[in-house]
Amino acid sequence: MDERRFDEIERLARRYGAALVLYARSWFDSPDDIVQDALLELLRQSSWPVRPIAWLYGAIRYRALHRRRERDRRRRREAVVAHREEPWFVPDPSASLDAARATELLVELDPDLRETVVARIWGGLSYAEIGELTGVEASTAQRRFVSAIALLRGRIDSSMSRGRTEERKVR
Amino acid sequence: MMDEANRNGSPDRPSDPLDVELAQAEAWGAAHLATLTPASELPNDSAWAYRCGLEIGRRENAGVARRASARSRWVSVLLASTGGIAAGWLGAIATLSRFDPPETIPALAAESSRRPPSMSEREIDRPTGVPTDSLVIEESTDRQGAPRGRWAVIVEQVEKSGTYDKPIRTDLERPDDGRSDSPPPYYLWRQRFTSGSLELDLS
Repeated sequence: MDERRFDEIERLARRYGAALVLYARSWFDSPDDIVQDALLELLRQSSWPVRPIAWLYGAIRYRALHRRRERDRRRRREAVVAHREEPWFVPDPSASLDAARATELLVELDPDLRETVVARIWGGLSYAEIGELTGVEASTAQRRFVSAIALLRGRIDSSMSRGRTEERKVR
Repeated sequence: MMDEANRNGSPDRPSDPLDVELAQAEAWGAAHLATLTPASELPNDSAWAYRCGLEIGRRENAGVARRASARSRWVSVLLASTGGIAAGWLGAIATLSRFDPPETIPALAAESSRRPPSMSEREIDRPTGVPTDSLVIEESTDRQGAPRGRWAVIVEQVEKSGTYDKPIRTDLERPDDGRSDSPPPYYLWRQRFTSGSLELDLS
């Protein structure tokens, strides 16, 4: 095993680990395991991918969807529905968006749009890579990104104006 | 991340309407969304574990990476074997706790690699009073205190606040003649321990 792979895995985990977890979390509620598995699978690849980060997104997507299907089957079988609401982001007063609110907004997005935003903003994938990941043209990925941002902006603006109205009523 | 992203996919000089919208969306995303840090314990934990595996691997011709999540109670261990499963494991197991700060790793890796003959059991220091799961490394020794090439992983819960209360032990055989110059195959060895049971899934 080439030791450089360990260094590269470590670098990827350090730089993109949280972003990968976020992406996995948007699909499945046990994201750490999925990311860990993807990293290990990357380590075992016989040929190292040209863009490991894009490869990892693909591996995570495949695994997350697979596990979600398994989980859904299990839940149907057990008739148990457990929903965990965990923050997707680190609370940060200096951030322009509240972490919990941002999580809500992303959860409300259509999965295609959410996936595109997450891969683009936190994963740094190009639109060509996102298109390859999601099985669409790069231009479609671009349009999805634009739509997603428009929706997010609209929802934030409307909630802010609602807040201002309620504030005036209180006064 | 967005800086790199912009090099990859955004138009520098938007000309058609989509490009203009895209540039605006990118700017908004960078100003608002990109300021948020995704929540995860993975980066330090994982990088730490891989580094640990690397440090041990340099000395032992074995790699190990693991992650313990108290939430999901999953422990993943990546083991390298020079001879495959049939020939047994050439294993080097790091003892880790998810509550340990990453700074403890180099010391841990170094300690694991020294393998003093008299060593029987080690456990990482961890904050007291924290209910946590832990991994303990143990190397069997003969009566003279020499290593017998047998490694064990003990998974235990420090406080009996969960659903199990007995240490779980899995022994890993290390054959004396197991060394080889060929690249070792890697296996993911996974334990899940809930309700007092241990499931092993070798994949």
